[in-house]
Amino acid sequence: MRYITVLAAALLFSGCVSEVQPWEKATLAKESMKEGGANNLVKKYEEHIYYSKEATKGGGSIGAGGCGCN
Amino acid sequence: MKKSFTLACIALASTLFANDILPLEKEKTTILSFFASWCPSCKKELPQLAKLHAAYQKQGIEIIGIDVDKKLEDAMKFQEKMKEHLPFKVINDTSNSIVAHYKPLGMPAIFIVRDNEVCATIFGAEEHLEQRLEQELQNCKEKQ
Repeated sequence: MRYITVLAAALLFSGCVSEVQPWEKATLAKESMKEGGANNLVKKYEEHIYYSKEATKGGGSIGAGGCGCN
Repeated sequence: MKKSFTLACIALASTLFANDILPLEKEKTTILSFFASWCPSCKKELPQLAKLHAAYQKQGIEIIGIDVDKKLEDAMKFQEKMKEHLPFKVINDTSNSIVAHYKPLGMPAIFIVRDNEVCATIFGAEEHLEQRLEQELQNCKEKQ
């Protein structure tokens, strides 16, 4: 019974690991799929408020020293 | 109305055609250009290919555009917008059967085919497409 459950689960989730081919990236190419969503400026403002409140910087993206000086 | 009906007929015919894997003329060099409406680099590449079309036609080299958009509506809208840059035959591969057969590593993709065999590939945006194509076509000739 346990083996059947494992096998059923493996079959069920096998569809989740299918590789997206280069010609299937239409959805990934949408503006809304960019980092920060459709409006990058809004994301920048949100990050600025967050970093000011937390008195830190970095971690949300690459780079930045964490001085909190802006 | 008449125009949209004609477009729909062309689209349907090319979609049906695309369902069989692309039959190409033997002993003829064909350049297959895979593109899609969602691919920004494709928009830059198509005008470059369009410029080369007439010269290649004289040399007996055929260019075939393959639109890999899954939605026929998106494909037709894109082709209508880019029609001045699409002087060559375009096939709508809505079922993605042709592109899945060639398996490009990126978009846009160019395959140079001779005698039903791929002799060269170009993936992604190419700044100097004309020179690169010339070089690849030359390599294909030498391989024969």
